[in-house]
Amino acid sequence: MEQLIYLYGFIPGIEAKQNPLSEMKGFDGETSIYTVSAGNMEAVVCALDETEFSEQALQEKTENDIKWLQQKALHHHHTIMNLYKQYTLIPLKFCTIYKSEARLHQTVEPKMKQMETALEQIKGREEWNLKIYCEDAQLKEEISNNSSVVGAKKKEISQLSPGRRFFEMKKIDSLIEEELDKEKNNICEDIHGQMKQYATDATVKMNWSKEMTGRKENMCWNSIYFLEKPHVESFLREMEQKENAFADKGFTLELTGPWPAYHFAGLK
Amino acid sequence: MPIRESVENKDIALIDILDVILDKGIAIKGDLIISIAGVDLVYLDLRVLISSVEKLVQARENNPSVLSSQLLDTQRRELSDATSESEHRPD
Repeated sequence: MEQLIYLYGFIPGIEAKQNPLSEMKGFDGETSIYTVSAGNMEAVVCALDETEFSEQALQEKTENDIKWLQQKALHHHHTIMNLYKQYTLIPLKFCTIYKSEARLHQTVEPKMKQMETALEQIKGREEWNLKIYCEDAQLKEEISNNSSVVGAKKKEISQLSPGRRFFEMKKIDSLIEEELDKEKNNICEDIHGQMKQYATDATVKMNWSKEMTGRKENMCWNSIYFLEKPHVESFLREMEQKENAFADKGFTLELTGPWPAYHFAGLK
Repeated sequence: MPIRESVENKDIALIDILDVILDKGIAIKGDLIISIAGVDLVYLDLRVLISSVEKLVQARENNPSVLSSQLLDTQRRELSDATSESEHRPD
């Protein structure tokens, strides 16, 4: 029976030679992780049983077996972290699976040059993730009291007849919400604009819903920075200042990293 | 005072892990067809994955004391396992 190949990432062949891969269990928890040569690089992979990990089986598992998903996501995460600590690494996303080793080679071959360049870039850089959360109440009150747009609307309403005033007042709430979103976005854009100056590359991602984060506050920003190592320290210091500066307004800035270069391996 | 605190030394929420290992396309179908694009990747529908995570979070909310601490413990244990493994690896 054919074996599927789960691909974790690529490391430079030279590093793999100097520091051979330590024993790690693969995605199925049984077989071991090994490397496959691809030009000057080594692909870090494990074999998977085709029946157990078919496309359909994976879909079913992720749909119905949350424990499994959680366990596998964590497996992927610390396998990658383990590699990241020891090697220059192009990390691959969760569940990057090829139908065979031959197929892996076929796909990788044309990307080889690009990947080697990526490895060179990754070597001196780190990836950091910023998530900004906002406790809306404070900012909302501020907007309700101080926003010129809201103020103008209030003034306009106060000149209406009592009956119409009642209905127009209801619109004020949605106006405040609108202004709140604008203001939050402006603040985040501003922070991002300043932080990104430290980075060689930056990218803005989608926000996760409250259901997903399980937090009380809304996530209002999610971005990734790719930093040259000598710039990390000042980036972190600046971030710390921002954290303090915006805490009063109800913002929580959460920085995590360094992450393996998931977003900037440049293999698009 | 060291300002750096790395991912390995911190309790990382599952959501942060999923956020990076699933990439930016949390609402885009097919984004799991990874950067090194190839016809032969096994295709995993991202929306399925997302709804699974939603279920996970809900389960955690319905039974917060048991599940969340369990979850954190597992994560912590697994993360620290990974750390100690590499530390104890002979050179």
